[in-house]
Amino acid sequence: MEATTQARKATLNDLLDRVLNKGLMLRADVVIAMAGVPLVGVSLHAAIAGMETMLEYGMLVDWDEAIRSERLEKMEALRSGPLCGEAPRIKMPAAVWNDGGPGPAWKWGILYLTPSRLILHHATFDKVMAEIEISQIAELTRPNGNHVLKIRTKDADTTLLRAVGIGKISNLLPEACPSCGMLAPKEVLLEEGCSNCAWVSARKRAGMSIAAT
Amino acid sequence: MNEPNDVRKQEKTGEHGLNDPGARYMYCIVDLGRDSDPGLVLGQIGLNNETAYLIRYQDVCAVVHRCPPRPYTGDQEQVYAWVEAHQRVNNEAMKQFNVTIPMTFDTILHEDEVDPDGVVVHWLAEVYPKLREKLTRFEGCLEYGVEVLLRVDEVTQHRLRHSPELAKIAAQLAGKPPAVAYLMKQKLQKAVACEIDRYAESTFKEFYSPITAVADDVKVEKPKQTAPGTRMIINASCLLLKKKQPRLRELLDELSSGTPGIEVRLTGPWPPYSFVGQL
Repeated sequence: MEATTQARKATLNDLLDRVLNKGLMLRADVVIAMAGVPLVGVSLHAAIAGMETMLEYGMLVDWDEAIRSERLEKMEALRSGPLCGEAPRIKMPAAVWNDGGPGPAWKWGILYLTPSRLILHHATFDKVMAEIEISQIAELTRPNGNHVLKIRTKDADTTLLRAVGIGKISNLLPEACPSCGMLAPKEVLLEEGCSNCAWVSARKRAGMSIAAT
Repeated sequence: MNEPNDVRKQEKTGEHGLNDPGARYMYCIVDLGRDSDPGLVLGQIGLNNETAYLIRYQDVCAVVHRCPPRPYTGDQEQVYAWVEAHQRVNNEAMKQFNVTIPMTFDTILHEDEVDPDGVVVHWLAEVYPKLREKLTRFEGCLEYGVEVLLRVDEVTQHRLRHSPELAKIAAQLAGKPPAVAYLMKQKLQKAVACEIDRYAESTFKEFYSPITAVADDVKVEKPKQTAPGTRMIINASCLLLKKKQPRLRELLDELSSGTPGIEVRLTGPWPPYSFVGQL
């Protein structure tokens, strides 16, 4: 009887079984591993025994790649966040009033104000809870108390936002000119008046400064 | 003797310093023994014909090639080619050195912004005592795969001839009306399956103890799926000293010739894949 190592007698299985499934396995920091991503070598510890498992191995490669790309996408998404590259002018904790679900409640997240959008984002679940295009805002009111901001859009959707210091947001959001309806930042309207119809706020006419109030 | 720092310095000024892909694929660990001047390159025999070379720490060397810091993944054909290359390098190492500790496939060492050869040296230095222990244990030893297969048809015929119980059922079968014959046949099949199981069990015992007597260590694993018509009853890896190999061969020849319907496959010599464990 001849002992052989090469594929003449020792089948593919013997070779695969030993090389993929056995041999010294290292548990060291310097061994390549991407966080949360299984490697083929590692996932193959699950027995490679026959031709069926060879097929399974092919599947494992696909599976491995699927998991890996999913993970990479997620990491990419987390890095870029909900802002899609826009620089936020304000970032603060805030809540949105939620009528649906098991009961009405304030749902908290992080509120971002970018040049074009208001976004309330839940960081842990990576979920956008509210998103309002600034150009779609029709009316801003402060219904009850200092901490609540009611936003009505041109589609007549209303959103209630709540945060300590929500005034910071409303001051930066554009407001319609009471005379002609053109949108302009609230501060500009109050301080300088409307550039379209030359409307001037009562305060401005009285010679009062906003900063002074 | 090279200290880690020396090697790092040496490598930084080395010819590969500039376009080094950044990681090292490790094939095996070898013991230089008294061989003070090893050939530092095994040749272009690695995965994708990469150059396999040695990285040394004291009297221990890692056999590696330069690779990017990514695991090797590919389709079936590709993996098969890589696995063969992995074994090719291990074979070469076994030829040249007294002890080879094979790594499992896709063992890649890498650390950000550290010279990759240096990473290997530091790892070797860190686990040196444990490696030394393993190298001593496997000195002069090789692994052989022993697979014992049972040829179902042959064993069935053999049992039908030799088992009085089966012979009785077979005799009753003759001249029975079809419906009864059908039931008898079922009974016979069941009895045959039972006999084959018994035969497999006794063969296992018959082979197992002499093998363990010859080998220094035996690992019995789950039988593999085999071609239709055969059944694997022993799937074992044996660790034994090189010089004992003829004895194992003789023993297996003897056992298989004395047991009808049995086929024995001996593979190897392998580096001790089944015995090296984890580190």
